[in-house]
Amino acid sequence: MEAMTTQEIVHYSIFALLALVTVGGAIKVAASRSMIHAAFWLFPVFAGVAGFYLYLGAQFLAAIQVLIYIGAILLLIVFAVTLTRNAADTDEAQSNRFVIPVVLAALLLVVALVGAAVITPWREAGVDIDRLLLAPGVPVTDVSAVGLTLLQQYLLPFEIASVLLLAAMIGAIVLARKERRAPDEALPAEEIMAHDERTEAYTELTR
Amino acid sequence: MNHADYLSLAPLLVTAATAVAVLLAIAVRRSHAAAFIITACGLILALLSLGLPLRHAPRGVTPLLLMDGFTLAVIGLVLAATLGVALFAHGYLARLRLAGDEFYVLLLLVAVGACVLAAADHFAALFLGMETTSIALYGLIGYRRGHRLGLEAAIKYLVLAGVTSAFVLFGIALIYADTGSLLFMALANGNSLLLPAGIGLLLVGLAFKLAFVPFHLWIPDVYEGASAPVAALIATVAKLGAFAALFNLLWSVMQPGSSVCIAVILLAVLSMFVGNLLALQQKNIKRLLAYSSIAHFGYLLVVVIAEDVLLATIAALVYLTAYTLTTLGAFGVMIQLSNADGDADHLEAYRGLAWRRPWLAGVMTAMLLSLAGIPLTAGFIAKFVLLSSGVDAQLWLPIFALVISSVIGLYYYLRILLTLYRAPEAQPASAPLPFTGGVALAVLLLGVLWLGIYPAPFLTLLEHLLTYLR
Amino acid sequence: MTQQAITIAVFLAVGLLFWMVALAASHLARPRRPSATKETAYECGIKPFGRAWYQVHVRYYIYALLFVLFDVEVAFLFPWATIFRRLSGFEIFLLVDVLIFLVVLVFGLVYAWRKGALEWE
Repeated sequence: MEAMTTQEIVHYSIFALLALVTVGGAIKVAASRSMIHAAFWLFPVFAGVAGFYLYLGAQFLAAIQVLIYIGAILLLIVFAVTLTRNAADTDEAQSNRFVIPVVLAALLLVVALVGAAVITPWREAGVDIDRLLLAPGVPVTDVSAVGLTLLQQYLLPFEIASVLLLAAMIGAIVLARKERRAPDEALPAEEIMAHDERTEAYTELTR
Repeated sequence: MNHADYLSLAPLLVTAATAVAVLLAIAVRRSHAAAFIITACGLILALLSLGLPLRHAPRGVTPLLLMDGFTLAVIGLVLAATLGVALFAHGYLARLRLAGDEFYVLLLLVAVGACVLAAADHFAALFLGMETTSIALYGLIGYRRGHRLGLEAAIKYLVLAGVTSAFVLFGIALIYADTGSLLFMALANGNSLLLPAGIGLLLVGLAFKLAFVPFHLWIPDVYEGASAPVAALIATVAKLGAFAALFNLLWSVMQPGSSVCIAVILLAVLSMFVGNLLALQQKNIKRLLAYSSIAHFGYLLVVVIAEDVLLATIAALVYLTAYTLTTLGAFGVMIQLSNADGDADHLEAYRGLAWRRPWLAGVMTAMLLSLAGIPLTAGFIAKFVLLSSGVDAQLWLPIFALVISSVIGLYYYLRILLTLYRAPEAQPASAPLPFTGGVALAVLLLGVLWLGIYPAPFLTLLEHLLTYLR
Repeated sequence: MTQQAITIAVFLAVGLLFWMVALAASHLARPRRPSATKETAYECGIKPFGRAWYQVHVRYYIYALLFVLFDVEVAFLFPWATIFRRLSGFEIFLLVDVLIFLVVLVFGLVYAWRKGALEWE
């Protein structure tokens, strides 16, 4: 094997570090017994992916990854976990009866993908990303290049995306709305109890 | 985007604008009638606006959407089916005393998503269309908030759509890595193993969405849990869009004897047999229709592997039309029988229907015969055209499977038919047929019979549409 | 690229060192005399009771979801904002395009507002 240049060493170590953070986080997400821990372990996963984007020169994507995945999606997931009962409990079973077929199917997929990735002549493929994605001469890294393609070539999906967001908003409101016929239903019994417990204890203490 | 582009997109734009208009109407004042009227008018307008793109078709609107004859026909079907579901839902929501307003917004957004799917010529459009359809459907499936099965179905559909998106996105990523393009056309010129892997993942994703065996496990539960109009929507609009996308996508890669071709044949044959066999013992009509739809889409896969483009496209459109009319009609009858006590999805609810409500029983009879593919109904003509397309391409295995499994299918359709004419046990009070639902059922019945008895004008129309706008 | 990577690595290292040195120094310098009272969690001066975990209300989730939606919307606006000034002659189209995008979502917001989805009852 040829000796690596300093540049290569730097590149490989950055890649290794990012991969370690991302994959390690993902393993912890899958292996954590408590749901809330699993949710928080998503942070290194998302941050690692953002790092990959930066490393590949896609600053805009990296910023979006931080803004949306770390800033919003992670928050949403943590909220969703706290909506469930016993989020911090660790006595849930970690496997079910489908574990063997699932592992086999996953292994098959891994073999297929790794195989395809190894066999593919990556360097020779010669994909000219700049030509296909952007107007000629505009560097990929530029946020404004993304803006240009978004508003020229990809204007239509841009507008469809607004309809998609609208569907999500209405769907969420419909699903979480209070049933008009039964107003009491909206407050889950669990929360009323939790509040009552705390208020009672408080009166007890201050008496 | 220029003048012709906007004209080409007119049906889509009108539908999306209608959704926003209904939304604003709700914000101003809640009224079921107003929401329904805006929806119906908007959809009729969108159907009329289908004439506008004709002059410019076939036209690629940006690289994303391609409006050709096939796409326009599917969009027409999607819009008509959405209108049908809206007409049925009007009476249904009123009977259930559900606040119906958002129902129509979500309904229209499902239609928009399905239209985008049908017109997609680019993976970004494919993904956006899929997501718009499924996100709007979550809200619709869980619309009856207090209903346990409905919520379960919504969660199941959410998980399904999540899995689908994961497969589709990964597939797209691999295809992009190989070809460097997101256009459907790019599928034809890959040069490494990444491409077949990507197509495989994509196929699995779409097979989940269209519930081909072995990716069908979700569909009976979702049909059963969703309210009858929403089940009708999933069975027609959502599936139309997804199938059109699959059809457009696979045409560019399909070569006889290729691994994709073998996978599609396998999916088709499995779907035909498993769908029909699972339906045999079903007592629940919704689940039965779910299994029957698996089989029907199995039949439809034959056109994807056929060789003659024109013949296959005509066969696909005739079959989709017949399937949409018939399924909508069957669900329409179910919706008329459903009330606040629950959907009429058990076989017992249909016992002696012919004595109690002869009109509904008559419509149901026509729909069941059409689903079974009996002559003089749309189902027969559709199956005939499908078979001739398959024979033309000499696809003996799928054709053989189609014929055998159709015979198996006869059994359960005829069982419901017999139940309709049995002597009723009790005489429940019959509710009057609402005007909107009655009109929709009458149109569907006429459509099924007309297509079955005198299909020539329709076939000529399709042939013209496809020959000149390709 | 390598130059940049080294710069980032140096920044990272200095940042981490700063944080660790500061914490370690204060840990070494401060007196430590724990007692049972000091070890309990602080809850506004009263004794803590009950479990810290309880199921929260779904309305938090609605806010989080609306936040995500508008966060995504903002993400779409960034690239638009960077090119808006640069293209002469295109402004009207760009403005209209983005206005359509915004208006659809603003209508959604109006709907949510009128429906009382933003009320905290």
